[in-house]
Amino acid sequence: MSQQEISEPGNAGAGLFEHYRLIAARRTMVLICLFALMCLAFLMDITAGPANLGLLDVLKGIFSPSSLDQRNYVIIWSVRLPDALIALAVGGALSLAGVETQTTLNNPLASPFTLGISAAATLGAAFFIVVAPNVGGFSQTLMLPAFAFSFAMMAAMAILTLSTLHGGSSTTIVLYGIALVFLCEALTAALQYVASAEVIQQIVFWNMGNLTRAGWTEVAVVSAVFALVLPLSLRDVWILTALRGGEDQARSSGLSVNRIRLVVMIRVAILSAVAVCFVGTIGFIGLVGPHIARMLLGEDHRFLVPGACLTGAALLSLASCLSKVLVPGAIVPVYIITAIIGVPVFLVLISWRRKEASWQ
Amino acid sequence: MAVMSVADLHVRLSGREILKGISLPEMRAGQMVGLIGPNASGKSTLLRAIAMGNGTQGGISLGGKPVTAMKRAERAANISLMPQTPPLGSTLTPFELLRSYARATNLGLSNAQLGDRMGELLGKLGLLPDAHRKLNELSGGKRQLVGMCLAMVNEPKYLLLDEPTSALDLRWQLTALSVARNYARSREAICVAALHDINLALRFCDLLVVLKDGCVAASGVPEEVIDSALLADVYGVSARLERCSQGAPVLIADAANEIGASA
Repeated sequence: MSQQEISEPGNAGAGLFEHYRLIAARRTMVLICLFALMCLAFLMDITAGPANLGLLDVLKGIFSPSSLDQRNYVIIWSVRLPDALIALAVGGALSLAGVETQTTLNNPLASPFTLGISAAATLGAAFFIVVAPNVGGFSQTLMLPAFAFSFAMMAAMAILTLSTLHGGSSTTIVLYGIALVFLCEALTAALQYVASAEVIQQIVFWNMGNLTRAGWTEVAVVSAVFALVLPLSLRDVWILTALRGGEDQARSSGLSVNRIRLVVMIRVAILSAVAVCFVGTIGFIGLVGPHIARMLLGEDHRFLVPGACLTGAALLSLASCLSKVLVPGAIVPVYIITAIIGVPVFLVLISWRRKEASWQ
Repeated sequence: MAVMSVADLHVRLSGREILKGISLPEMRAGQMVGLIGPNASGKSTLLRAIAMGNGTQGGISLGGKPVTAMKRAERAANISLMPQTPPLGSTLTPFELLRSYARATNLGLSNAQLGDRMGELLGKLGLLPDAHRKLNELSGGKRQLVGMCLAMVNEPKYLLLDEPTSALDLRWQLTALSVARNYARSREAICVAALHDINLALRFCDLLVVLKDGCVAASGVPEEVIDSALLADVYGVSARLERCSQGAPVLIADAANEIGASA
């Protein structure tokens, strides 16, 4: 039989990469812009605040702390800088956790919060706040995050164990997560039901994510965890990209889907538990940061993973800045602001890049 | 050297026995093997058993080594399965997806070498003009061809195709199968393809295996295997094998038999 051979343009391979280089250059530009945006947001964040300090004053104070008087030294070094830095670290960590969850579970609605990790952290915090008087002798600043962290990790481990035992598909993992959210919320409600009004107020306040609780220790812990986890995520960018072709496809070519899912869940658990245990619930970033990055950069994870970190950090930084200037003289919990600024940004982007936003 | 043998293979999935002790003639390097049979006869299950050893008991050895004794990495380096469903319609491009597959399987090629390999593969399957278009903008047929590229990019010794032509038009059915056959010939690989179109199977395969209800109904050289009695038995149809003007066998199916009419 004579089968018509499809002509092979000479040097097809070189041409392929040539064209791709243009696409990659454009994406690198987008990454640089996102980085610049994040820096801008950070500068705005350290400038915003009730004390009347301009950007130049703050920068001068950062580069030559000795020139500052006592009051301004405290404002810059104990309030503004740690708050602004924790915004970057938590935003980056939650968004990184989000992008990895969405890809490995093949679900655009997945985020550290759909997995129940945040709800478990709240339960842990509530448990400590209600039971604390009976424990006694421990410093609240240390023990409250510790309880939140261990509950969050327990939740993540429960999901991991369930999904490994039952050989769970990605959908079952999401279902386990949502079941866990309801369980943790019910238990938190039960704790609130038996608690006094004052204690309830404390729980509610903790649950509303608030960056102003952060000091240098918190900044150091969250940044260190983020800096340790990010290179591991970057090492897996090829297989994460391959997973977007479909789980069955990836398995059929012999890619280790189970291994990547396990390590991603461990990374996500650590990232989000560390992020929420210090600052409370900041729900929106982990869901939307990755989507914004995906719309701008596509789904090649070599660009998407760093891009998601940058969008998350920039978003939370902007939100933190707004939380300080929106109501004069008061700092609105950033938990309230993230969604209020995030949703319009998100909606505009979706209508602007409808095709990139779709998920099949 | 690629050699595949399947002997007394049982596969149970969720408590049900799908393959009931099948044995196949030995498959040798360079051969294109067709797997035919009605729906739910166990074609996909057999391919998955070879690729992933799912629920298997004994039976399959590749190059003299039992599949169940091979580590995942060893299997991944030697066997690729193109599943029935094409790649998801994500916003990735065929180029990005193919490249990530090649890199995720640690091929250790330079960008230039990989570019040549991808260019050749995409060119043969007519995908070069679409290499940088988003998968969610491509037709189902094109995505199926992309799926075939994904299975072939690491140049497996055992290439398994699960209904590779189900979404393709005539031209690309012929192209896809001739690419697979040429691949087997030129790389001394074994290609096993589950097919619904018996005429394509007759035309392209060196060896045919006919499955029915998880058992082998017949196997051997295509023209010797396919006849009216077998088609009536396995598919429940009245059909005949004729010769076309060029002397090649052509299957003509006339009617579906009444249910229960055939043995």
